[in-house]
Amino acid sequence: MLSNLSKYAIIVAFLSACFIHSSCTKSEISPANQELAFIKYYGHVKENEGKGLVQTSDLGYILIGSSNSYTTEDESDIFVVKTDSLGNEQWSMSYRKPSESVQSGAQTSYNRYDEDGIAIFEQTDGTYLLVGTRTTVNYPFEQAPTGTELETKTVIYSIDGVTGAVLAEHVVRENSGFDEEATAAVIDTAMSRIVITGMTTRLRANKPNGTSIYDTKDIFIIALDKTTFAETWSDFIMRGLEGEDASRSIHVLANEYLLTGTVQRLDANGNLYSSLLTVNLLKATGTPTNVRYWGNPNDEGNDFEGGYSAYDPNRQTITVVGSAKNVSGVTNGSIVLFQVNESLNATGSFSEDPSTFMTYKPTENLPGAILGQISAGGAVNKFTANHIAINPDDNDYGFIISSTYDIVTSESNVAILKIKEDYTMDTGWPYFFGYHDPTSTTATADAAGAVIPVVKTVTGTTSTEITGYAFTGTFNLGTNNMIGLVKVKPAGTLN
Amino acid sequence: MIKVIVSYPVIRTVLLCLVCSMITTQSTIAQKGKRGTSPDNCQLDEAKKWYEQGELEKVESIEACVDNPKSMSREKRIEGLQLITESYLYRDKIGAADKTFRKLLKVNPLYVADSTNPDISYDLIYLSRSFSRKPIISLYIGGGTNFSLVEQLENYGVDNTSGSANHESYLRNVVLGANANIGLIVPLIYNFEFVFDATFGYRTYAFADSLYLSANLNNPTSAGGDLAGRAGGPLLYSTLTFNENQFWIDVPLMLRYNITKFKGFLPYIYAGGAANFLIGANLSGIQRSTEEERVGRGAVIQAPTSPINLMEHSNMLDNDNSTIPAMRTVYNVSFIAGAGVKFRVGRDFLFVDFRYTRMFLNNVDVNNRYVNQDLMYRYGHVDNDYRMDNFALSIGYVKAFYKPRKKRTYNPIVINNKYNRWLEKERNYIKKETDEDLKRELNSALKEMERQKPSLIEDVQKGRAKGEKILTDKQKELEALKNKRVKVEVKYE
Repeated sequence: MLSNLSKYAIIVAFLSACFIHSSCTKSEISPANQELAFIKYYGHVKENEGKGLVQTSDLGYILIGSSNSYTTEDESDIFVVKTDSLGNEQWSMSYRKPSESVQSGAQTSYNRYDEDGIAIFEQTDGTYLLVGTRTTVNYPFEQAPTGTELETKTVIYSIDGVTGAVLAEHVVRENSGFDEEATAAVIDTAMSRIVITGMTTRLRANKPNGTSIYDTKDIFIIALDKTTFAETWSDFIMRGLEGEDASRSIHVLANEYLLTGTVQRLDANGNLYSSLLTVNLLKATGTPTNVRYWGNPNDEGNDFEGGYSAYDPNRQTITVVGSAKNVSGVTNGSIVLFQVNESLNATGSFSEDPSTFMTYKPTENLPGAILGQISAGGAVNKFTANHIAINPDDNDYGFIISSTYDIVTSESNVAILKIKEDYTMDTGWPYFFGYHDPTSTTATADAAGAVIPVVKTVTGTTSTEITGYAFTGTFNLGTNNMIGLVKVKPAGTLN
Repeated sequence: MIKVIVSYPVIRTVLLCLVCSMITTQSTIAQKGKRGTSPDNCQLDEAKKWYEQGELEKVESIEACVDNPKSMSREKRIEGLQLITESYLYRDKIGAADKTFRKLLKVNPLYVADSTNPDISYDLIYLSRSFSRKPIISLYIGGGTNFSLVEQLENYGVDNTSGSANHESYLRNVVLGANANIGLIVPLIYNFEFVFDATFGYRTYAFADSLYLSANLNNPTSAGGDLAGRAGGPLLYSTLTFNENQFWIDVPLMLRYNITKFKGFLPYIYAGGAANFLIGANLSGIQRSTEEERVGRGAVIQAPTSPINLMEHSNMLDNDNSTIPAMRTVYNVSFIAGAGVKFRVGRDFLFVDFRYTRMFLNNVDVNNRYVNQDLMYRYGHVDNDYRMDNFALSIGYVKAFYKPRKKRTYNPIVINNKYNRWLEKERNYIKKETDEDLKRELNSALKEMERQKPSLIEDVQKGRAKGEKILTDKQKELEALKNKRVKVEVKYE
């Protein structure tokens, strides 16, 4: 009996060991809880840049930016990445006009095209519309080391939603002799249009204060049929003052479009300064009906940048965010925010006076590691707002802002700020993302792209909930820049 | 001033005591100075002659001298104690023989009466067999090397974690760790033992990951262009490598079985479980490199000057007193199995041991996966969930401690108790018996067995019979009686 007992004990012990070992299988599949928070990088070996981000109808994401990883040339392609809800790439595609020889009289030269993605829109038929810029770079011959930039135009691609293959391509006002560099776009579904705004070198005539040598760019707005890309307005609408003006966001209201950005003007001493801009434009003709400038009610010379905005159709408000470059009474590099209604009247206690703006100083609530870097010297310490979105949660209404945060020279992180309904910063925010070298010997310049709330349908209901926030941008991983997609939890953290 | 008057008898007694104590001291000093040198070896040679001549009481008189560890050499003492035991056995003084044999085993715990020696009586051989020679407890110390295998449980990461492209490896190189352990062995019944251990383990593995971006052919290579030659394969672009080093304290409890059929060496196998405590972990030699497909240009991010600490630690930067939480779980549990061989060295052993440790729990603290900025934003690494297996080879030394004791089956107290319990049980059975004839017969048999009990127990104590066998035989005897009923066939007409 003893020998049998020992025998059985040995057999059982080793069989158990074998069973336990064989019962576990290696998993290569993304865990389901990765939806809660993740960091993903896209692109390839060379330089990649992330700009736009949209949550798609299948609860995945589609990103747009640029990349020169898929070419030996220095010029970039528009780069689009489609992912699932876990951030895993489903497909990616690059778009660029092929380089070509060009004949000009007896001269033959070589054109390459540098393209950059600005915005992307999912259509109801499952396709996507991309808006980007295309700059022609002319080389004396194909192997020439340097070229000359020629025109910059706005380009639109229609692509297949499953493969990313190009279905249609349109260049806005090609060979017009002017640059038109798109900065924002919106789809007017009711009118089946795509409305694009940006900066143009075709300057508006008869400006209120005349022009100056600094007046190099005005704002343009153009509306195109989103299927045929035919222009729907009789003329190309430009807007601007005596300096370099920029449009950043455009929205579709009931009867008008609303555009925000900055306008630059000269003060009495010949100094340039930028005010924040809001403009209403008629849908039918694009004619501006209402223009307001913010931040300089008495031409104080306060200098702002940004002018990105988010539109809430339910509350009929437009919230505008920018950064203070040099504003009296506001710390340089602060985030500034105000709100208007559809008639461009300030809401609540806001007014044109920047002292009524919501401001957030760059020195508040910084992580210790960043504080350490700043105290070591060479601090820049500045927010540059890049994008704003509505946080539609009824129980947590507010705004989510993405910003590049410059720590020291040549080193920046992406900062995400969450503003509550009362225009104060939510507890614990902002959060900073990106590598920061405490010794400041490694330059890693990260840049913010778009930020969105991530919405999911509550199982078994038709209502939705916010499961966090996702943002894109450019992350310098030390070897090269990659497009990043970061999904954080509702509290703003990854952990 | 006090006057002390001392009488002559007192003076005489004091002087006599002084002289005697001096003589005794001299003698003691003489004995202390020379270990194992009783002047006449406790009269061992004479005792042997007395034994031959049957003067057994004289033999037993040397016992006090032989008991003294300093009286003679160890071998002589063994001889003496053996002789005294033989004498007691001959005179049927079982208790005394038992006691003396225990003293012998204290001198040499591994002593076995040589059954081939014609000078040794069967009684001594039987008595010798009734004692256990297993250590009552053992301590061991050992050390060696180990190798770790990692099993990935969930695939996180900054690249595409869907699909099944095998682009991650935890076996980039074979890297060996080290381990040291101390332990305690407690014998159980038969050849089983409990083993308690404390193991310090340095465990390491080498990791490699090629950042893998495209899950299918829908990537820019499929559209032609400069990377068209890469179409059809996963788009890898950057390689990350590092070694992870972990420092563990394991506290296992194991059940071991010794295979005793071999002389000179003792193979064993064991299994058990352990509580594991992670006391340190870091990533060393971390490096990420990229390489352009066609032109071969690339960049390399080298490791920082010191390893990346994965345990909780303070940031140690100016103006930053924050604590970086641990990225690894501090506690784990594991299954352990192993085998080895012990080689006898005198009373102790040398051993060679092979041990498999299977940790069950995730090594990664899932709440702190994203705390390290270096890893996420510089090296592009996020921990996967994983658990670890470890294979360790150790050598060591076992120090055994002995206490003479009877084998269970020869233990008279144990057998006596069992026998009494069995008798009581049978008495109760007999009371319920309705067949009066059988009842009488059974009672008679039981009384006889009760009468035989002292001699049976004595045989057990002497080692002449195994207690379990005696009991079994008596049980069979009684069962045979119970079964000896007359079977009556009733024919119905």
